[in-house]
Amino acid sequence: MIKLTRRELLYGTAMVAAGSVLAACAPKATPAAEQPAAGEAAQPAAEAAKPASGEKIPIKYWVFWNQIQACEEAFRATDEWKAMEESGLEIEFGTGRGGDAGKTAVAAGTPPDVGDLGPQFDFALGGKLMDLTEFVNASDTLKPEIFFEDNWLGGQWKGMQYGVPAHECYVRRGLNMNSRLVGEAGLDINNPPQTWDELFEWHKALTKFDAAGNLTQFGIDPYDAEGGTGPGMDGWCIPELWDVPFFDYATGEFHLNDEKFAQALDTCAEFVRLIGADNLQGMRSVEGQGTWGGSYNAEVQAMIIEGYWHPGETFKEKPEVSALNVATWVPVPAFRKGDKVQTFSGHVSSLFAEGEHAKEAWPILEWLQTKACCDIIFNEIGWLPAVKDYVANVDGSKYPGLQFYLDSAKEFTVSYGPCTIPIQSFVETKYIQYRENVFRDTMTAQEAVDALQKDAETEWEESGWKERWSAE
Amino acid sequence: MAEATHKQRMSELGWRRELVGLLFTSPWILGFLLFTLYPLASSLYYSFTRYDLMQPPVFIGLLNYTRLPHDSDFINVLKQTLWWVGFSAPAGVISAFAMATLLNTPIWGRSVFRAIFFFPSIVPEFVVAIVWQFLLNINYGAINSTLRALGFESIPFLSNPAYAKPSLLLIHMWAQGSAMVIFLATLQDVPRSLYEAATVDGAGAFRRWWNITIPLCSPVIFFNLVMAFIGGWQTFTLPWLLTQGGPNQSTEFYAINLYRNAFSYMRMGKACALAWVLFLIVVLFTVILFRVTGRWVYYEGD
Repeated sequence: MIKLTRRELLYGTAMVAAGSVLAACAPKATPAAEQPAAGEAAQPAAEAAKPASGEKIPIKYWVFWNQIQACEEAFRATDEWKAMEESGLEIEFGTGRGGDAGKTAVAAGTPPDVGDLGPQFDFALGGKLMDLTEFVNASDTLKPEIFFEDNWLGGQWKGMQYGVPAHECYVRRGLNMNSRLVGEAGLDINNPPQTWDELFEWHKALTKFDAAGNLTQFGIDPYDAEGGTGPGMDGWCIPELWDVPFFDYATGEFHLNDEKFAQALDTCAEFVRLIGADNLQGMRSVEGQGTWGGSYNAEVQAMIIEGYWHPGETFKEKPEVSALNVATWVPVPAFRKGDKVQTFSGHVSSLFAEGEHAKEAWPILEWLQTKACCDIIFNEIGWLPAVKDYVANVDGSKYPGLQFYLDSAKEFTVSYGPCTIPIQSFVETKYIQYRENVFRDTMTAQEAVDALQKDAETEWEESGWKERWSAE
Repeated sequence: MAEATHKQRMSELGWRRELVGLLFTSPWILGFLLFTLYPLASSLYYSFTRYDLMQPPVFIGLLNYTRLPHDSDFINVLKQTLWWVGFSAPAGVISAFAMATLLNTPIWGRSVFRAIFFFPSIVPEFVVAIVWQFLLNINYGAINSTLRALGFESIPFLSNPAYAKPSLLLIHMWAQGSAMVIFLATLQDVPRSLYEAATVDGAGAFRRWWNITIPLCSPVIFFNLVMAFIGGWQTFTLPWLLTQGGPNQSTEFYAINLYRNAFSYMRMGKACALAWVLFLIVVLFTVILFRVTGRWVYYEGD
């Protein structure tokens, strides 16, 4: 019998503990030869290594957003998903891994194989995504022509196809109105405001305070939901509506200190001043805890600028409010009255260059375009893809207000696409800060756009993008 | 010869003891090297680079440091954080000490009250933020709903730049359970005989508290104050969840700005420089605090 002394036991324990720490910290062995260089066109899945008989290939498929979680069970139940798994893929489906967790995983060299609804553009800039051109060329089903053009182009950067449209795409601009509140204010829902001056009159008519001066209802928060976004995959609403050429892609120069942009901030500030800046902040706090447009769903806000998903999401979240929803064109400034503005944009799905089995994961990107997948997402959440054939057959009466968006995609007179600028997150943060300075009267609109321009230029230079842009 | 062998054996034994000691402490040493020293050294290196998390860092010398004084955001967050540290550290200590003093008095249900006052410390900060959001929101908050029902105007606790920091201060003072427990233990250590002697000498309640309780608790007051100062400079969760640095950047504290630079603007090099500057500031403040302790902290052994 082996006799174990206390000292020997302690030795052993210490060795095991030290070994475990070392093992936990050891870098994961990755077959470097299988990893394409950043931006380099990868070989399509068909040419990727096949698994040994009976061996499954583990695929990490991360959606950086939460809502899609509701679809997982239905996804797995589709014949197409089962076929992918029968062909040798073992798909780990993860959602809500957005923001810092996703960025850190990618930066640390441990990304998923497939990722979407996340900061794909940042990943593309960092050379973390595969060029999908060869995959697309080799595909029988996923072709550029099946998508709306702007949506397809949204997955490109400097000649590289870093993503293909998926999950949630299509059009982003519409003014949604609560017909009951509009009717009660004596306004005609069939004759909606076409300019921001007219919108302000509606805003005044729909805004109510109690005897003590507390806000009880308001017309519109121009910076809620799509109206408030900064530059990004959804475009940049307010500068688009005022037709501000805020960035020159040819030279890499910002033109944010534009007179029209100042005019836009001044106009929006009037809306906020009427309801009170503090009240707006309170409304947006509530919004921050839930979904966009929480105050619209609560029937405190009568109008909201939102994308095509609004009818579907409202239907799911608040059916009684959805029943009152009517959508129309977003008003434009008087100088461009008559323009029907629409923005085609959305999200893309990508393969990560450092994903262990990214090449083998390509079938997921093809599957995302299938009717079975799009049906689940549309029915569960209310989102539409960028696949033209699918959208052409969508029933616009399913969600009140949706038909406007379907028609608008054909009737627009001016269209915009995604607004992809390398320092977009910085510009968005500063935009939000400076526009608040304007509606709180601590800065004039012109001072705000001048400061925004200065900050953007400084960041452009300090982040190294000025130099990189010239070089590329 | 025998002596030499004995010395050699002793030396071998000493070496073996060293090895055993190192083996036993190796998990901690390895953990420290890998999870503390390595990240620290890395962040120091990154602070001299332009690093966006995605691409390899590019060495730029001291630029991340020398640009900071010209960065309007940096100046603003320094001002906001100084205000916060200046008020929240003493206010937190005062609040904790006051709660401990009250809970040290012999009242009915004292244990229940102690549990209630300690409770905020064990609730996750996220939950605390959500609860206070629903209490303080200008439009839907419970406090303002009550005010409105009574015909009063709402108070923009978290929506107005002038009220936001004081509102956060209020929440901070409420969540002082940990410091309160330390004070409570200290208060129970104050010898009864001192109070009895003072009472015999005719000292009133305030005089006893001022001349006996405060001096004898001053080392712990100092300890809690130092911890509060350090924590104040690092404040992140509560303002991030409640105001996200607003309204009008009035609660944009140092750690929030650091986080924005690291994960939103993808300026990890600059964020690392900000972290090291923060470290120096905290060290400086702590040294100053230690320097002035002799004037008011009473150590029984001195």
